[in-house]
Amino acid sequence: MKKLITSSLLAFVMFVAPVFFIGCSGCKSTPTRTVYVASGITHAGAVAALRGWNEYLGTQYKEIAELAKSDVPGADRRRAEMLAKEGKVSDAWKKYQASQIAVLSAAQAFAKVPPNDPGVATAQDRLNAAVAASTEALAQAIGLLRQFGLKV
Amino acid sequence: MQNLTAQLVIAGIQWLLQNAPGAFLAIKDLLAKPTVTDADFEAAKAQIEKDSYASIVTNSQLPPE
Repeated sequence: MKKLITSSLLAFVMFVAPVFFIGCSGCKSTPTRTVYVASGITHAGAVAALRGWNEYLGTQYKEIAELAKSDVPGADRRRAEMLAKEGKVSDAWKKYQASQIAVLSAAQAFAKVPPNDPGVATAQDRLNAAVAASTEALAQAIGLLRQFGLKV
Repeated sequence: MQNLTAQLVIAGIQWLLQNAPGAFLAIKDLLAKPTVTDADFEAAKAQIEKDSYASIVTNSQLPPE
């Protein structure tokens, strides 16, 4: 039950809250500020999740080190598996970082296009595509953390 | 629906305060900003760049890049 609550709240931080704040700030703010704020909220949640992974890894590697110290068979294999998982999370995190930076760059470019300029639609499309790609990259990174045993 | 959203927001803020107070403060700062300049965007991008896997996952045993 606690796991479900924690999962729901993390999902809130990373997916629901940005949408909520987009809704709130959209009334009194520019779309670019909204994207900027949503990106910041998303990133704060993503960093919190990665910190959780860091704690989880600390526990796992400590256990593996104890197994290796006691010459328990399979310690090397378990370490190799953890390193492989880490490699995947690290790659997913790099993709997430790049996608978030792309969102901010697209919002920055969008902000520079005058409202009646014919380039508005293109800038908006680029921003939408960047947001979609970033959402996908974040979902993949969080999906990996869950798949690898982190209770988020 | 609005009540549910409000409850979710309150629960989310409580979760952040307990589990990630730094994240909560960062969000508070973001929301306090009335306008966003080019410099703000550049600073946000630099922060995301700085938050690398290696800098956050200090228990990592991956070989350094």
